Amino acid sequence: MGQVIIEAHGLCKYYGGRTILQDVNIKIERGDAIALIGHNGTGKSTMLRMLSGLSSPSSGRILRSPDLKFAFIPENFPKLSMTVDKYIEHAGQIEGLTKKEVHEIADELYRMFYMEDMVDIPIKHLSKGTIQKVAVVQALLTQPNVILLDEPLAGQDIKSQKNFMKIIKDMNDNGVTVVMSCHEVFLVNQLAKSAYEIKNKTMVAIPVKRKQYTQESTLDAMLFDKGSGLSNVSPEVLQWVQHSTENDDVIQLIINREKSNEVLRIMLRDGFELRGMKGV
Amino acid sequence: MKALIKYHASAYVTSAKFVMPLLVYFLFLVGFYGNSPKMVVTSFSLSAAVLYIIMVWAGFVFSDSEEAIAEQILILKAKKISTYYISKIVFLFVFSCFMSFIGIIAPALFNVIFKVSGKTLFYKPQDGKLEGLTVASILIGFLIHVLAGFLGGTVGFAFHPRIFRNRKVTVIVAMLVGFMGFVKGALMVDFKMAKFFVWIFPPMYDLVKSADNPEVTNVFPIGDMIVPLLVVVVYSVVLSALCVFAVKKKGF
Repeated sequence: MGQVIIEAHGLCKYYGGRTILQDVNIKIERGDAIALIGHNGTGKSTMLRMLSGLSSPSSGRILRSPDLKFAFIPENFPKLSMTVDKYIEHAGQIEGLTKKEVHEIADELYRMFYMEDMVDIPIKHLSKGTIQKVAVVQALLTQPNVILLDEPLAGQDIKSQKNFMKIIKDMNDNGVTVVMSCHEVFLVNQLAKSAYEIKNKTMVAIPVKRKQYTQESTLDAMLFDKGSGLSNVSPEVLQWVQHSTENDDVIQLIINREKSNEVLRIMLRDGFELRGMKGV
Repeated sequence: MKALIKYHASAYVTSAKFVMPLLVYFLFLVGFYGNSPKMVVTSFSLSAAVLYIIMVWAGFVFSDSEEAIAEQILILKAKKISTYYISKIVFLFVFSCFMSFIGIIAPALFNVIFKVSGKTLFYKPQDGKLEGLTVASILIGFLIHVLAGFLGGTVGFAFHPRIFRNRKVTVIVAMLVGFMGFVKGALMVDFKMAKFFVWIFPPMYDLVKSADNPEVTNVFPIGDMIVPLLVVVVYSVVLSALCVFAVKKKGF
């Protein structure tokens, strides 16, 4: 059994007379990778904030090892007027890095996330996906003890998602504790060692079918003309979808490779047109 | 702390939220000092009082300007909630110094301009003699501006969105409290009972009143001003501490 770094007993949280979480108990060990799953508004983000000390429980208590260093990747990074590079420089310096160190680390991260050409643009002018990459880069400047991920893949392109998962997996292998709130089943399966569903205001442990990240290209990304939209994709297909995104023109589905042919057949049958496909 | 203050400065400048307070103060200075003659003490006291009100506005906007998520990220990086908010208050002090510098350099420049055209900006009403600015007046004037500006900044900042969620009502209350700090003297004259509760409002009136010595209008009566200046400092520090305590307690 590893060293317990965060321990919560009987946590309750109320907002404006409404109960968000009730009698939640959890022990987090060093090197854990925990996923919190649940619908929007069930209290996943609140739980992350309480674990990190940003928010206090209405009742119950949380014990943390002293001097824990947290990093946080939020779901919606703010649209700041500052340029990417300036923000990252400040963020690194607040963590105690020198300007030179920040730039050395950040340049490598910009390269990994395909954003070298965007670092001089004010954050508020970037696309949602690129803003999310800024959120990722700021969190990876130094190695934390615990990294909190709140829907971290929102809007990121597939290659960046893959790089992100690899970095998080490596950090976790090096003893960094990961606590994430997410919807994506494939992220849970690839990164989480344990998972909890927040349901009826409490947390229930659920099984994780962990897949080794080293198993490359077990997924396919399929792009279809948007057609009648994601809401009209057949439930037969949706049961195999690990992750889906929708924009003005296309629907992107991430599918287990063994189901790709079947998904393609059903989608074509239902009138969607294939725009592209690749292993990820 | 230094890195956090640099971040706040950078975020404040790039968001351009400093432009309106700076512009309003600049226009006041140009309009006020553009006409001579003036008395040093009353001019600097009025300029400090205007800066106080402008800084209530700037402090309020500053507290409102950062999104909760951005704060959460930086608080976790700084490791302490109190460090983060203290850095914001220190930044307000730095901004107050910057505004005060403008508030002092403007009359000094106008004084030079008036001299070139054969006039003088400041005069002594006792004997009607014209006079220039003394180094002592400039230094004490700067100190009064800094403390008045910081007082206003902390008053505005104390109405933080995490403590007062209804921003439409809060902005009115914040400005009202700011003005009360200024007009509480008049209130005490009209309502004797007011002295029992007006002490709670910012001590701006007390500072201006202490500088207003009808016998001497070209030199600050620093002896009379020491206590009001200290009260301003203590009030600002206590208000800042209460604000930090409240936002820390409130959490996200």
